[in-house]
Amino acid sequence: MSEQEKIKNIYEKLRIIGQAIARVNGNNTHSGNLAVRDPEERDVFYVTATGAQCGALVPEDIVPVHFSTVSWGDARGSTESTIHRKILSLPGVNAAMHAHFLSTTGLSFDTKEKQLFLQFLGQDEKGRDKFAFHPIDAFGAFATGQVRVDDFFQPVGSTEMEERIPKYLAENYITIVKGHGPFVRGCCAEELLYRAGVLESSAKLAINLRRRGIDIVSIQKSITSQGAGNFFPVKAHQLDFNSAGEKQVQDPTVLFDFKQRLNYNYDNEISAYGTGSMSQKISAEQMIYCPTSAVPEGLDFQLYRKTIEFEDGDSTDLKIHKSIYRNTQQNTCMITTNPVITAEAMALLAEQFGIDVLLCKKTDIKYSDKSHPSIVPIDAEAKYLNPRLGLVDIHQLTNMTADNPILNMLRWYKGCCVVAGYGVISTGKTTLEQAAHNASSAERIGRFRIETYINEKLLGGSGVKVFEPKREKV
Amino acid sequence: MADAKKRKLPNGYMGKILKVDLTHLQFHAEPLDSRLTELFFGGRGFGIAMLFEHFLGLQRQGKYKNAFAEVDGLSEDNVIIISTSPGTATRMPTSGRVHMNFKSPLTSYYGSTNTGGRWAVDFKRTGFDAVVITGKAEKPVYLLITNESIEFVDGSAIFELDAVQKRERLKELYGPKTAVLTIGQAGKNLVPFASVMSDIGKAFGRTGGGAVWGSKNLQAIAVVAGEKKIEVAEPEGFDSKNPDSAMYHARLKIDLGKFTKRENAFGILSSMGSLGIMGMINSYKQLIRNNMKDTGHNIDDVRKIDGEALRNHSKNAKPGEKKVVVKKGVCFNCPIACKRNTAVFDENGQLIEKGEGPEFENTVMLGANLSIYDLPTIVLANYLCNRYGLDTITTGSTIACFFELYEYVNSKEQQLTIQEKQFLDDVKDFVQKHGNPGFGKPELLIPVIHLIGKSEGIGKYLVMGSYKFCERYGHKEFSMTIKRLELPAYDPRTTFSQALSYEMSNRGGCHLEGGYTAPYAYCAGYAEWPGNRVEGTALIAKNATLTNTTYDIIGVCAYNGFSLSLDEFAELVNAVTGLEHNSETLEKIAQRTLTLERLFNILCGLSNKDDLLPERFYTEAIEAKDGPAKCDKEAFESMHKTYYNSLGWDDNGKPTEDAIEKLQLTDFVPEQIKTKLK
Repeated sequence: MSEQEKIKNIYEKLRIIGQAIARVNGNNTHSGNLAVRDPEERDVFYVTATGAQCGALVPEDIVPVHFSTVSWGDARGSTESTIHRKILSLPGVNAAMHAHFLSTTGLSFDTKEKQLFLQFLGQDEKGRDKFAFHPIDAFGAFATGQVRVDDFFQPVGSTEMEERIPKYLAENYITIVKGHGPFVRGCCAEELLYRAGVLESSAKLAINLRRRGIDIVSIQKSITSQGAGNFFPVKAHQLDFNSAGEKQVQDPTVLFDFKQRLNYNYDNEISAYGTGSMSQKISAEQMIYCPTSAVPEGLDFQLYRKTIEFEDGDSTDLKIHKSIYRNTQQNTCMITTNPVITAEAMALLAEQFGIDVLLCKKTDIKYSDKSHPSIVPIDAEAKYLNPRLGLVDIHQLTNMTADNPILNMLRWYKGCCVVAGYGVISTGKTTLEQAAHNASSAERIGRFRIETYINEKLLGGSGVKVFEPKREKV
Repeated sequence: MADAKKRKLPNGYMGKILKVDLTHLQFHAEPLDSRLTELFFGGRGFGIAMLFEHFLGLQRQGKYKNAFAEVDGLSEDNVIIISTSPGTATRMPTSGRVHMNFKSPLTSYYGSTNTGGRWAVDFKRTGFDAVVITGKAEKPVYLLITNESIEFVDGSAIFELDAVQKRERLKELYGPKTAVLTIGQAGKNLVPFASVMSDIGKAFGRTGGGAVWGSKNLQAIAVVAGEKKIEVAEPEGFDSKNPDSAMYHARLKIDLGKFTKRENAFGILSSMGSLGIMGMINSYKQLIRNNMKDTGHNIDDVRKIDGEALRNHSKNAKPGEKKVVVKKGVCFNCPIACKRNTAVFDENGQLIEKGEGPEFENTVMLGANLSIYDLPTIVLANYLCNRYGLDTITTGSTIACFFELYEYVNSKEQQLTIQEKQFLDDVKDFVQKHGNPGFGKPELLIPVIHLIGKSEGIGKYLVMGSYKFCERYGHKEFSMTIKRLELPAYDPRTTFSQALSYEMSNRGGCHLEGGYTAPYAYCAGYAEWPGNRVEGTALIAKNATLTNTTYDIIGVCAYNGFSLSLDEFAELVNAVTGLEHNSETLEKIAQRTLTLERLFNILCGLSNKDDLLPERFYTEAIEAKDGPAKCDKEAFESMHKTYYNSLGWDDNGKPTEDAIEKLQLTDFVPEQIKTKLK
């Protein structure tokens, strides 16, 4: 590859990533920065220019900088180039990012006196507060693990940051500078977006759940002490960068359909990039399966042909898809991870059955047709289209039999069921679009319920119950 | 101004101006007029106020119909004004700058130049804010200034020495802490672009101040470090550990700024000196070549002389090659440390010479613009200019036009004009000794500079500066000047805002006094401004002019501007003075200064026709990043009007009566002068 082509490719990739961050409001017009290693020259990396608009990068915004020595690129590269230099020097790290995601940054405004979202870990030898955030949803917990949230005397472009941030990133994918935002490392630029996007989603979920009155710090402490693998009854899959873009399907209409849904889900924040999944059943035995439910425009995705027979090594998501196709008349399925509806689902379960249900302790919840948890919409369109959403606890994901209550929820509630702490399972009889609409509708149902709840608590507004439909479906 | 007002001066001022009469070898101290401080603050502001007053005084004496126009730059009626600022010699970062004003012998307009180093600090500590030098000594003299007194010392013993030797001799005589301003042989020989040297390599470079000194038989000003304290209004404002202090805010920005931060944080200026910007300027097609004909350097050539090359030269030099060894240097109270002290070693490892520099401008004007990419040669050429006391920008540009003229005339096979024949005759001796003048010939650089320094051979004519040199031979189009001052290193065709600043600079083709916007295209963050944009550019240029003028008035280095805003400077100024300035009030003083400078120039005979780039930039396109680029004359003329109007001047660039009144310049511009402006 010529030098020009190489730089063009680097620019294109960073442009796409920058745009993807902008689409989810991960930066203001000019905040944030991205850096990637030169794939050939070990002493060179490329960083975005100071004042570049990460969401609208132009070729001149990508600046070459050396690891070993100063060069003219240091005059134009981001103020945080020195931090990126150290991050990119970590083994296996080829990409680094800093952004100002709103929820990720927003949850860092705890103090040692008052913790709403973070676990306080004490102070370091210089009296700086140390905190941690552990995602309490399955996808977040497995994708990012516990994230350090640290106080800095000088939290912008300082030598202090240069010294500490790479150390934290040696141990985790992400670290958050309190009041400023996350720094992320990855094997490639896509991984940066993935990890940061999932964390943002988890942060949004945590904030919404806390606003619903649930003590999320206690949930975090439980996850931290047990480990995500022991806390959650199932494992959530992670994006596989080694298989990026792998496709077993060539039909352009199929490719277009999946691409459109993936991009749309990303743009509308129905799901975080790299989480969830979607599929279309194409025969009695086979489906076309994508191991993610959201991808920003310009990035590639995998598409596989899968049997609907259960196989060893199937991920939790894949098992759900297979179970649905084996046991219902649905022909499309989407599992999305919108944090707002997932948080509302968790809050409702906790209100009904106690906090233990969110601590993943086995709780006796009845899922009969006469009595089962559900989510009641309060907005007009949802009341008309989705009178209820099914709601189950996460333990139901271990049951892949025909008795799984999820299957009934999909039958009863027009193909939509929320799994607390996991995500939204939505299906369609014919098209992926039908499943997508359910997922999108679920997001709004959750949002309006939470906003109304907050208005009641903060402003003395009318409670959610006032707006729930009076007659019971069941 | 004539009636000194006895208001208490703000902190930071010493309260006295030293007035030196070289004709009678007398001096006296005058109280500093508080109105001068109020309206002009210091530095370049003081300079123009006192310059204008001096020429007004000549006018009133009745010796001239129009003293501004008639007084020659080398006349004994010219004046030298050297002004500090209230922040000078305080803890304000980079507060060692000082400004000098005179009528320029090179341009015949406003002469203005600024330098750093140590001299201003020691001078102010002797008790003075400024020195005004008039008349002409009968024989060569130098001034020795100690605490509140001066001595006129016979300069014959140092007369034949070069600028560096003079400095060394004076330090031997008066002690190693003596701060010295000197001229070299160029100043002695009245070369119109002679500079005044401060320390070894810092210079009052532009517009020919050295020749003015030489015309007055003034060889040097030596200051034995004064002991007076400068009282600041708010010492706590300079406590860098206090997060509420002006100093804390300033140091935070300086320590984070990419250009100004420390070397171990990969700061550009600290790591590579001003040469560190060359790679970036070249990649944005701004780096001039072959007398500003184009910017088409081969990148591998530029890499031989850029900041990285200088930094690593001694490490990368192969056995049997000349080597440049570099050490960082620093001006007074400067956290940036952009100075380079260098030494050149020959192929056998023997020291050839050591000195200061090169800077970015030197390296371009003596190197890249001549297609010379031999770093040791450029460094030695820079030393030579420092010894002779020559403005390196004008020197390099004049050599460039000499080479281009020769290549042009020499390629003409027939119909040479009389002037062209004269040229070939004048250059015959040079050609015989050194071969054909031309670009890409490093072996010619040192010999040409010697000829200029000694005013010998073709040097006799090169010393006129490129404008008069080219005029002599009928080819003014090869002179890259505005208002007869040679342009510096940034090609205007790829940066219209800088082009406009060049045109509008009151001292002539200059990237500093008129505003420094060339980097706006590539390292101004979200203030980046497209190089080829017309709409709105006039105001960008005007704002930059006000900003850079403010730096000269408050006495700080323009490099701070990479990191600090004028509001941050205002905080520091207020901590010194106890005043309540902000960016707007400082810019008002700058606007006043600019307007008076413009009035001075108009009275010297300037018109808006002098505010034009050389024709080359309107007619010859270069290959820029986005395709062919040149300046559109009509668009520029329209920008001129917008620029003028934004400063309160009319469409032809004359300050209006309304502007004069609003800027409180009425006292400075009496009716008799106003009539000359009509």
